[in-house]
Amino acid sequence: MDNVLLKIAYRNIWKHKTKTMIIGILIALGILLLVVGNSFMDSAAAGLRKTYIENFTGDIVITSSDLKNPSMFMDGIMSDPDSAIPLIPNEPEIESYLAEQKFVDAFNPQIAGAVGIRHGDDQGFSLIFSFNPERYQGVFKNNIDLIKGSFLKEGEEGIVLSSDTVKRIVDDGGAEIKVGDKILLTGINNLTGTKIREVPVKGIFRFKNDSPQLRLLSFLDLTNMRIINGMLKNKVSEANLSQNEKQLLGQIDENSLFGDEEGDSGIVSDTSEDAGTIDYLSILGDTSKRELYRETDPDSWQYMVVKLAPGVNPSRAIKTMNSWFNEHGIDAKAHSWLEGAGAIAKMSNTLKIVFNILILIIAVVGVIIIMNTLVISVTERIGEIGTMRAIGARKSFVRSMITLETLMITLIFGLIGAAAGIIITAVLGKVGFTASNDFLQVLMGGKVFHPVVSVSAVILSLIIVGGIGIFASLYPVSVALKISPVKAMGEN
Amino acid sequence: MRKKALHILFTLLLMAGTAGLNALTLDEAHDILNTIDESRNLTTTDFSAVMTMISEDPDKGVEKMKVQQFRRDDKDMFLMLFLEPESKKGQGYLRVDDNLWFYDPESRKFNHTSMKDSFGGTDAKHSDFRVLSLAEDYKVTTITEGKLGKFSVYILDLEALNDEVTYPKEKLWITKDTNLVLKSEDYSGTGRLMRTSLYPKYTKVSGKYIPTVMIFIDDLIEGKKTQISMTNISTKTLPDTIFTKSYVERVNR
Repeated sequence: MDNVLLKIAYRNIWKHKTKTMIIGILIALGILLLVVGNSFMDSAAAGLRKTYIENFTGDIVITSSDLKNPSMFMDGIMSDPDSAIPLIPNEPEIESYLAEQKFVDAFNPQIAGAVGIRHGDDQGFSLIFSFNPERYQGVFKNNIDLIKGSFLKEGEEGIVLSSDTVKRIVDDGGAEIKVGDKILLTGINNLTGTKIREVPVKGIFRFKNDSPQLRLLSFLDLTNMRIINGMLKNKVSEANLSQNEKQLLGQIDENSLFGDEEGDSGIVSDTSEDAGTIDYLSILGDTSKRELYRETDPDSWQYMVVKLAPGVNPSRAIKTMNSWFNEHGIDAKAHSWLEGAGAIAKMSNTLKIVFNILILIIAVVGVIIIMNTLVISVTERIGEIGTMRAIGARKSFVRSMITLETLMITLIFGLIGAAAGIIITAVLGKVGFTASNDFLQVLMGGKVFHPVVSVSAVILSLIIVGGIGIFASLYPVSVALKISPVKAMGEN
Repeated sequence: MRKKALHILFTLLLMAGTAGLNALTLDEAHDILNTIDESRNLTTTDFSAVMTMISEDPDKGVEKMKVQQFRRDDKDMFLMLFLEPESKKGQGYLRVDDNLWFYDPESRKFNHTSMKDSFGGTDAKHSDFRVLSLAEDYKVTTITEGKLGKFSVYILDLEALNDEVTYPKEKLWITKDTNLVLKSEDYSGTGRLMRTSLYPKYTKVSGKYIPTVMIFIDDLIEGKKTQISMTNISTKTLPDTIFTKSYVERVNR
């Protein structure tokens, strides 16, 4: 029986060569697109993942649960400079917990910031990461190339500038920045206002797995970063208001504010030409208290970057950590690397979803085209199917015959498409693409992009092709089964 | 019928009365704007004062800042030294001509910005930020009279003459006798109220009225408000050394 079906299906495919070719080419092209496209997307996602996880987010980023946008590139802070990145609460406790977990490979607490740079008369800007240098290098092993100088050392003041920051300053007509030069860093925070720090340039580096976002990053020692961010040991006391000042807080009643008698006497206070003799050198008064606000808090951290042990499922690890925070009443939250990577990485992920939607649309269009062609083919064979039914062929036989026919076309051409897709991806992978702009570079996860054939993409495309085959045969089968043997033979 | 005639007569009398009261012409109203500009202008004398700024924010709570101001407007010089909070004490901004320095007493370092430099990476320059003039930048569109608390005031509606101003429309409440601005409302081009400013206290120094208490209410964010008060106001000539970097350093020793 099966042999008969196969023979008939093979004969029909061969008999309608043109139609078979049209459907086949469409299927092959669709599958080719699917294999190449998904391989590209998977390779880009892997590149992006590698760039971020291995350079600055780790697998998991822990922050205070008050932080609305956990992006380590401070997307939220950039759009609202008045806001500050909240500190991780109970940080030492979290460190002890992480140290005991087998699923955690390494972790590193960090601080982020943004500074204006002045080198002589030249100006620039850089985002800053600050950390304990040894611990950082324990988590992010060998991820940078030092172009000049050395990396930060624990307890030593200084900055390691990104080569791109230096390049931007020099390209703006600035003088060359050398290791050992002193540069002024200026940053603003809500507690101590504008802070200026003079620091020596310790080195100039670039990330091995470069990306436009990473190029904005320089590394600064912890003390200076905490001073610039206003991360103080002593909390700034609340505003001390006079009685008059307190009266003007809250809702203002204009009638009582302007309720004094009319005329100068009501609104204009005693005319005064002179506020007395000013002692210009004692204007600040007692300055001893301000010393309290110069000591930084060594336990103040904003981000905890966690690298997981090999094979650990990140989602499960995030869930475990967040449950532990909840159980212990700690207002911290673990986020995926993608949340920590910020807007650009998320955009790349969104593009993948858009691409998959496009593929789905193409698949639907493909199904309709194949279905139509098959319906025409079935209509042409009304007499033949009618005769088969008249000489005793059951409905299930006709159904199997058409389904098998469709499946044969889709699988044969699907495999051809998949093979072509694999070959094209492999060739393109050998040649490689150079990203022509920063945006593409972020999407591709690096400067040069080498797509790799994605096994999951091939499997997915074969499943889709099978689905298309079965789905596309449903309607033609129902058309064929409606054919009455008597009518069909009469038409013949 | 008689009742109706009486009603018309009463309305006409009322209109005549209002017309008589509304004696201020648009030109005269514009002159008031000139007077207000003039009183704000302190180019003939030095000026020093302690400015206390208290800002209320529904998210951030109450913050207080106290700044010692020294100004020599005709030479484009000013020095502002933070007195409060303690965490900012001694920080200062010094301007001399086109140079603006910020001083951080903790590091004892100055950061220099040229007023000719672009402002925050935009096309705007620091020097583009000139002092706005009510008389030059606005025209009076309507004049009404009213009361603000116990004060009889002219209420002027202003419309901007150029797009350099922050607010395209303004409304001012000005005392009739002394031409002091008691209140102003700033509107967007679409007529949305953006900010309300109140000036309940003034002092008279060298013949000029200077507001000593100012309240700025943000009408876009409920509960956001800033009150500014000025004390120790003086127009005595200041020593030239005040407007120098070395003074800023010395005062911080």
